[in-house]
Amino acid sequence: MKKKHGLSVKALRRLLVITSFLMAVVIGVTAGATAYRSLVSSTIGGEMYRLEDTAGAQTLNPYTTNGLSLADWKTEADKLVQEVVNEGIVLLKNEQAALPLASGARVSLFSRSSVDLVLGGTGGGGIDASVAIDLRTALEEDGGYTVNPVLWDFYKTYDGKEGYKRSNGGWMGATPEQVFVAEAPLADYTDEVRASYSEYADAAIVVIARVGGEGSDMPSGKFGDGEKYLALQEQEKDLLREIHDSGAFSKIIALINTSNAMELSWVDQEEYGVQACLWVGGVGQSGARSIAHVLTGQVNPSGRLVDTYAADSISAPAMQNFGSFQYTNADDARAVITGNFGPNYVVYQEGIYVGYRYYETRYADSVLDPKNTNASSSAGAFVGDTWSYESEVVYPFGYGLSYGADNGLPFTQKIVSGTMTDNGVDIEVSVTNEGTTAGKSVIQLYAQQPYVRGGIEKSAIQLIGFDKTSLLQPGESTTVTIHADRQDFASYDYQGEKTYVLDKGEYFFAIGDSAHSALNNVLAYRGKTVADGMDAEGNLDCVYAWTNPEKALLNTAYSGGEITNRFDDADLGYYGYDVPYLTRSDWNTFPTPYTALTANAQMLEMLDPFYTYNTLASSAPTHQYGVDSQMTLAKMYGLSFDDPAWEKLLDQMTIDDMVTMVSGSALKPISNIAYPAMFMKDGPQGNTGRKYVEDNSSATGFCGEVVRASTFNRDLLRRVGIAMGEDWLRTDTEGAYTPASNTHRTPYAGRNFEYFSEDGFLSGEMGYEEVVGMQSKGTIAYIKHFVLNDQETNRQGVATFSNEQAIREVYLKAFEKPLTEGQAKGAMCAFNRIGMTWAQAHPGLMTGIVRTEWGSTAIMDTDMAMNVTYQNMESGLAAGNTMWATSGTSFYDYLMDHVEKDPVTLNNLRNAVHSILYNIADSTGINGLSPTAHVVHVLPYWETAAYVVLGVLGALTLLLAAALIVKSTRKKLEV
Amino acid sequence: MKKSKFAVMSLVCAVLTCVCALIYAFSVSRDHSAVIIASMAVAAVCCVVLSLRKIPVAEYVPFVLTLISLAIFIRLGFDEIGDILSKNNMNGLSASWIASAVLLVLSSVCTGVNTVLAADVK
Repeated sequence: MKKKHGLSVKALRRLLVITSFLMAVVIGVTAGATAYRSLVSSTIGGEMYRLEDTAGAQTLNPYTTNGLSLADWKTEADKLVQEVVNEGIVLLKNEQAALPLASGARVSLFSRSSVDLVLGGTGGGGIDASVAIDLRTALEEDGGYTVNPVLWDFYKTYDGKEGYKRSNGGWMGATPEQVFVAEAPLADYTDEVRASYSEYADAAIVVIARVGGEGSDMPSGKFGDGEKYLALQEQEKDLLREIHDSGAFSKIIALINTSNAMELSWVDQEEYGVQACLWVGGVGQSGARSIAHVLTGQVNPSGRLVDTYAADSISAPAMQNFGSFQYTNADDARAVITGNFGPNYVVYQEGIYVGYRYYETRYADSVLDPKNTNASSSAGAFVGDTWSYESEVVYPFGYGLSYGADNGLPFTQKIVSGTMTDNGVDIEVSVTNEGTTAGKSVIQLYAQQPYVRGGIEKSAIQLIGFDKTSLLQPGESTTVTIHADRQDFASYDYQGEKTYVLDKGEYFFAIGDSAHSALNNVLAYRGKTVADGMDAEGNLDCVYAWTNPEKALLNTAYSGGEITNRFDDADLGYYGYDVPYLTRSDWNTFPTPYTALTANAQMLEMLDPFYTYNTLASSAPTHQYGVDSQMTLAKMYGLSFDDPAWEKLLDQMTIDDMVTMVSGSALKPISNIAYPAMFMKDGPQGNTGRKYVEDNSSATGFCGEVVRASTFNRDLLRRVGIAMGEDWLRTDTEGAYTPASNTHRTPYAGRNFEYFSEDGFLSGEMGYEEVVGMQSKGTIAYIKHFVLNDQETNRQGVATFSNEQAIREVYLKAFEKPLTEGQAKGAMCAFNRIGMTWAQAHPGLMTGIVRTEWGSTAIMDTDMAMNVTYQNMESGLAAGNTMWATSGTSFYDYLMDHVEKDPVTLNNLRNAVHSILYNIADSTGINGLSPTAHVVHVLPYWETAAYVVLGVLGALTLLLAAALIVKSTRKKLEV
Repeated sequence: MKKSKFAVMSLVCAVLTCVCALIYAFSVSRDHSAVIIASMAVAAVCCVVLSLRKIPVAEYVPFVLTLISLAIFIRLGFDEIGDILSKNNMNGLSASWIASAVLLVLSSVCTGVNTVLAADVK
């Protein structure tokens, strides 16, 4: 019998199948991973380049860490988080001095949220919850309290309802039916739990929380286990009654743990017996300790609300036009641009009357001219049959109490002097602590402009300045001077002068404990009293009046250019539609949902992604590419934007280099100019995407922006910015997608926790401090989402219609100071459209405002680049956008296919690269480079490994195939 | 006996590849590759032919086509995951996309097994 040699044909076939299959998988994985090379390398490690330099070359290191060891820095950063929350917590109620609560007290913590505090929100702004301190630990360690362990364990081990998703990170895009308050029903409270109350009865501390996040707005209708998410839910009412009716507790204290202005009338309702209430917001990694600090009185609360807390969370006029609206001819829009990028819109019919500007102005008119303005009509009345401020507002903007006085207002403030100059107004304010406890006082300066019924819309009160004192001991006084620029108390006349105007007439500058209190002071100055409908008497000592003898135009921009209309096409009137904007001349114009809008021919034409490009395209100069002049990025360090050396550097780059940089968010190295690549990461609560280089642990999880704004403390915000810069430096990340500075247009916006306030001025001031702080450490701050991205619903492509006055006075205001005086080096733009045009292709915004009026050279980056049609590169580049945020290749492929045939886009591309490199050349991106260093591309280790595996599998497959052919041929011959 | 086993397996492969092509073509996903749809459709036709008549070496045609599809599908899978990580896709992978993935792997395995079974067919 003939002995068989080697493997049988069948075995060879089997092996061939296996190796072929594996090879197909490895090819797919390798192709996919290399397409996202920078993302994969950022995630699992792997260098994409190597620096080569001559021996002894002098490297640049303009930005360095603060020199602390990482352990010490973590401690410092953690203390800063606590310091911010200490000053951001707002005392809303303190009946009969229920607080402070003496250290050593035995307390019971109530609600599911007491064991799962909201740290901020979900999505890009979330933080690593695993490093956060819980409330029990904080109260025991920092407050010296003893926490009821039975109740704690009950909540900790409670299984909850199916679908419970009140998480602190990683979850976004929730649909209403997926949202649950998920409070434990009373039926589940065991006898053991109830018996424990009496042992820990010094205080019941109940946590009421709400969480928002990226990708969806909060449900204002029905949701998983309730209705109207920002209202107190039935199960929570039951819990509050359980606490009160048990009669077990000496004190009932409520903690409001949310960044969204929820309904709080229940705090004063007798059936719940709440004696003290603290708003704590999203507390970050260690803000729970601050709650203990405030409860014990170690810290005297000095935070002030940065949003109006309305009795009914849907009473803001903006709520009428918030959410999902679709053209009647949505299919026509889809025919222009596919998918969901074109058929949706939202109309900001409330105009400038956002947040307190609405509630306070309507109140003012109810005092000044109720009959003619219909201020007390039923239109927009949500609590009673007719509108009244007292019924509609629970806590006004700027409100907050402190310890040391029975009424919670231990500080007296009065205006010492006021001086008006061409630069603006200076108000000198004396502050005295007349209470019994040391504390900090917030000075809020508001303005009221002269208003003529039917003229330019004007808020009856608007924040124009603020400051915070240092710690004032009882009896101590200080003097604070607040300056406000004229433009801050001017109005934008978009219909007449098409620029800012300072109208003729009497201006009132008032301080107050809130926007409402300041308004009352102004009304009192104007001779009004409670008899006229005011809800409290005002204080004349808190007002400075100035008369402007004649109208003045404020039309010179920060850059020296002209301020003029840039957003005519954002107004539906531009397309022939009549928009009944809310006007204080008649409050019966309270908006109704703007439905049944049809996209007409003009609108559809502008929806075309190429519209901007087609409108702006003209001839363009030609340039050289790939001309070696021995230039490197490091040689550009310290050079001005207009330095001729930039032309040489740009000439040295190839078209491929430029396309790589612009279409891939500058994430890849470019050896031609020794550019080593850059990383940018979210977000507003810290660097969530990268770990400390030294020990691979999470970077600091800061508290939410709302808490930061509530401090009203500029110095603290500057320190937050510096600390963030330190973290970005220590995580080897050059760009920071923060601060986020959109407006709390409504309480229900999902990402309010990431944004500062409903007030654009306050947001702009806080954003400015953080930008300057971060950039002092070399981090490129990408302030976001620029602009009018004030809702998550349909955010990708929603057409946002508003008038230019509202755009400038409310929404742009939040970005203006950071991008002008703050010299922000970057901005992340927005998904939405302004009018019919994608925000980043909107010439009025990108060219008119950013480059022309603000004179900014910032990198303008997209929000996530996802669709080459909707986020059109030709139009974006033509308008002044500079980068598309993606690590994928689709935008690169697109631009490479188009740019060489298009000299206009090629020139725009070059301009974009100029902006990008100019900003990187003065950032941590330059650290470690020398003018003579070269960047050499290298394969990341994982890619090398993948190619080796592929080679082995390929060789094996070929061998097996060959063997099979030989064997089969022999077999046939044998037959 | 062995021939009928091969024929049955070929039919199974034909059904799998055909269903896979259809489900993939109508799946909710970021992109649809025409190469995948065409390859799977051609593979299905080849399998039908093979179930009727054994052609030497032809059993490798559907196998190679499914492997090509598999490689492309995995490559595109990175785009799907990229969309989720970058918040472009808030809904996660669709059931139809996951079904396509499962069917594609099954098709690859079955057509591979068929190449082994083909060795016994005279």
